[in-house]
Amino acid sequence: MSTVIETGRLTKSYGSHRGIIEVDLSVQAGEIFGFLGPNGAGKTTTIRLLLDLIRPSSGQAMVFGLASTGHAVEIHPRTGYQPGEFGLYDRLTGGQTITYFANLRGGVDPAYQRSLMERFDLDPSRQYREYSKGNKQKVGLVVALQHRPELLILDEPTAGPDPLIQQSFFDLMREARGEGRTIFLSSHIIDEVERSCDRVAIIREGRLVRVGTVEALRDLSHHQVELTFAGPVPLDAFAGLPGVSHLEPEDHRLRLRVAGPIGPVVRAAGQYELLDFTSREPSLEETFLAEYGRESVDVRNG
Amino acid sequence: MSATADQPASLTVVRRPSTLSRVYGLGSVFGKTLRDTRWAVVALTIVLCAIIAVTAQAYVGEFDTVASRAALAAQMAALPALFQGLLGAPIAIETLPGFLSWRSLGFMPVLFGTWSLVALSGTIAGEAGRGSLELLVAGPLPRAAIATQKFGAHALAMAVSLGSCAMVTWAITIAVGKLPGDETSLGAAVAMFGWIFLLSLTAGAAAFAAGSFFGRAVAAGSGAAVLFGSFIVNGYAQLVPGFDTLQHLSMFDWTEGFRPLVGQWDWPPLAAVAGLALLLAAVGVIGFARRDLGSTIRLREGGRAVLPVGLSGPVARATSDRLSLALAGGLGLGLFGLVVAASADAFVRTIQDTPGLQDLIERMLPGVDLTTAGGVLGLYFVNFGTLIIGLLAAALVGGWASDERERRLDLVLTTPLSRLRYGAASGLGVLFGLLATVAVMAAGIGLGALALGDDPVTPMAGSVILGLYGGAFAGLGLALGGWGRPGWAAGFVAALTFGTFLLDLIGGIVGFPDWVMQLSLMQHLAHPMTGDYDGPGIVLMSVLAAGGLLVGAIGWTRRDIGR
Repeated sequence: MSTVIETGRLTKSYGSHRGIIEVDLSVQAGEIFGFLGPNGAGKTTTIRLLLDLIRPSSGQAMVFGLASTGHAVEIHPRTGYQPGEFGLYDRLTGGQTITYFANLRGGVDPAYQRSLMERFDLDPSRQYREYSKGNKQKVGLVVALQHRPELLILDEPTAGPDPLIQQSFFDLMREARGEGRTIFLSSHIIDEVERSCDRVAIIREGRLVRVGTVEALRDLSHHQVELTFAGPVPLDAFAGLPGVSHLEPEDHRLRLRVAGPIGPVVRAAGQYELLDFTSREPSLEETFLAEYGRESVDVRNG
Repeated sequence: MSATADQPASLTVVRRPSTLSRVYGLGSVFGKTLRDTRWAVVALTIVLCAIIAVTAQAYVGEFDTVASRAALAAQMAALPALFQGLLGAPIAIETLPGFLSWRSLGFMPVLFGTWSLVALSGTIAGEAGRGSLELLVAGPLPRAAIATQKFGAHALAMAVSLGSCAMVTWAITIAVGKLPGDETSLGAAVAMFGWIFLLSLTAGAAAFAAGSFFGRAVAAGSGAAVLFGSFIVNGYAQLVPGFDTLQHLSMFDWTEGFRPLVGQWDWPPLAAVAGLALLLAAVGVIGFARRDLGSTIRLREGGRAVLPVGLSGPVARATSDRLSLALAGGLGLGLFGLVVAASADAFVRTIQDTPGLQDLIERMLPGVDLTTAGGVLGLYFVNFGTLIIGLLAAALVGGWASDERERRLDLVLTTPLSRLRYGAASGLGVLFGLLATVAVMAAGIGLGALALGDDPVTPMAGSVILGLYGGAFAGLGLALGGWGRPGWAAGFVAALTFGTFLLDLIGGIVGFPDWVMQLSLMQHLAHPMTGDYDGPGIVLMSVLAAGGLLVGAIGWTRRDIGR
C-alpha cells in the first residue's frame, strides 16, 4: 500500500498561541483514517496544513508524495475537501455553487453530480443563504465528492445533516474505500469514528497522543475488571500485577483497571473462591478519556 | 428535599456586571457596542484633530496679517454663489474659526456621516450575519432594548470623538491664533461639532431605520442617499436646475444659518434635524422589535436575476460578485454626471449675465472651455466624483476581502486553482467592477452632453480617467489585502480616499508645500473631462492599479489563509 499522507514533525504556531506540535502521521491508500480530538486540539490546523491553506512553522506535510507547500496545485486536483466551517456564495443557488466548483475542477461527471444530490436529498434550486445548516453541509459534501477524488479530507462532516443523510454519507465513504480511495476524517464524535474508520489518531493539545487501529486502541488501553470474592478481598495478590491499577476494594468486591494482557489477573483470581468475575471491554470513548487523563503518552504509529 | 438549605449563601449569589462594564465593556449590549467601536473613535478623532491642527497652523502661517486675510476674504466673497459649491458661503474667513468652519468643518458631516451609516447599517445586520443575533435575542433583553442600546452606544461613541475634536479646536484657536477674532469659545466649538454630530447621526439613523426592514446593502444605500444626496443637492443648487427646489429637503440647507464658530446661531433647524434623527432611530427600533428575525424585504432580486452569475471561472465569479454594487455606484455617478453635464447651458447663461466672471474663470482655469459640458463637468463633477469613486473602490475591495473573511476561500483554494491565479482573478473582479461603474457613469455623462448637443466623447473618455483613479486606490488596497489582512484593505482605501480629498480641499488654499500636494493623486488628473490629460499621472495610476493587483496576488502565495 502506498502512503497518501505523511507528516514529519509537523508544527504550526500562531504567535503565542499553540497550533500543533511535531505531529507525525502516516495514512495509507485505501483506508478510512479517523482523526479524533476535542475542540481546539489541532485537527483543523493539521488539515489546513495538509491542504496548504496555512504554512508550517517547521516540519513538513507530504500528500501523494509531494510537499503540500509548493505543490498545492498538483495535490488539489486529486483531493476533495469539506471544511468544518465554511461560507459559500449567498446569492447563488446550491446547484450554481456546485456547478461553479465543478467548473473550477473540471472533469466532473454531471450524472454522478446529480446522483450525489439525489442521495443527499438536496434541492439545488434554492439560494445558498436560504439553506439550513444541514443543507449547507450537503452542498459542501457534494462539492467535495463530485470529482471522485483519490483523497477525501473531511473536517467534522456529519455535524449538521440528519441521521438518514449521515447514513448515506457513511455508505458513500465505504463505497469510496471499496474503490481504493482514501478518506481522512476528522471528528470529535467517537461513535462516528469507531464505526467507520480503519485506523484512528488521537490529538490532544496540539500533540498526537496515539495512532492505531480502532481495535488496537481499545486493546492498548484497559479492561475494567470487577471481582466478587466469597471471602475477604486479597488486595495484595493483585496490587503487584503488571498493568493493574486503580484498585478499589469494597466489602467482598474488588474493582481494578488492567492495561495490556488480562491473563495475569485471571490467573491470580483463580487462586481464590470467586462468586463473580466481570471484565468489560472499554468503548473507544473510555479509551479516549483515559488517554486524555494521562500526563504523558508515547506516540506510536500502529 | 431542600437542595439549597445546606449550600453556603455565597454560592447562590449571582454576580452582576459592574457599572463600568455595563457602560464600557462586556456587561451590556451598550457597553460591548461602545467597546467594539473604540478603535474607530480613536482613529477618526486623531484624523480630524490632525486636519484641524494642520489647517489652523497653515492658515495662520500663510495669512499672518490683517491685510492678507482681508484680501483672501474679499477674493472668496467675489466668487459668485455658483462657484462656492460644496463648501458653502465663506463667512468671516478672515478669522481662524471662520476659516476652519468654512474649509475644514463644513465637509465633516460627510466623513462622520459615512462612518455612522456604515456602522448603523451593520449593527443589526452584521450581528445577524455572524449568527450571534439569535443568541442575543434569545436572552432576557427585549429586542427594542437591544436596538436602542446599539444605537445609543454608537451615538455616544460619535459624541466622544466629536467632543474631543471640539476641545482640540478650542485649544488650537487659543494656541495658534495671532489676530483678533482668532480665538473661539469652548461653547461655540462644542455647538459647531454638535452640528456635525446631528447631521452625521441623521444619515446613520436613516441606515438604521432601513436596516430594520431591508438588508445591509439597502440600509447603507439609504443612509448614503440621505447623506450624499443632501450634500450634493445643497452644494449644486445654484448650478443644476431643479436642485434649487430639492435643496429645501437637504439638512445642510436647513442648518445653513447655524455656524457657531462665526457667531451664527439658529437653533430651531438644528432641533428639527435632531428630531428627524430620533424619529428615524425610533423607526429602526420599532421595526427591529416587530419583524421576524432574519427576515428582510429583498428589493433587488429582479434586477439581480438579469445579471450573470459568473460560474465559468474565478474571474467571472469575482466580477459577478462585485457587479451589482459597481453598477449601482455607476448609476449614481452617471445620474450625477448627467445632471451636471445637462446644466452646462444654465451655467453658460450665468457666466454671460455676470460681468467680469468670464475673465475670472479664464484666470482660474486657463485653457478650459467652461461653455462645454466637459468644462462644467471638470469644474463641478470631477472633485466630488473622485471621492465617490474612491469610496466605491473601498466598498468593492471590502467585498473582495469577504471571500477570505467568510471562509469561502477554504473551499476555493482547495480546488486546482493556484493562489496566484486566485489573487489575480479576484483582483481583476474588483477592477472589472470599476470598469462597469465607468461604463454606466460614462453613459450618463454622454447623455448629458448629447442633450446639450455637445461632444459626448471627450467627457466620456474623461470618466475613464476617474475610473483609473479608483483603480489606483483599489490596487493599493488589493496589495495590502494580499500581503497583510484583507480586513484592513477596505478601510485603507477609504482612508486614502478621504485623505486625498481633504488634502486637495485644504492644501491648495493654505499653501501646503508642493511635494505634499503632489502626494494627492488628484493633482495628477489634469482636466480629463475636456480632453486635457496628465500622461505621467495616467501611467502612475495604471501602475498602481495593475501593480497593486500583481503585488497583492503574489502576497496571496506567501501567507496563511484565513488568519
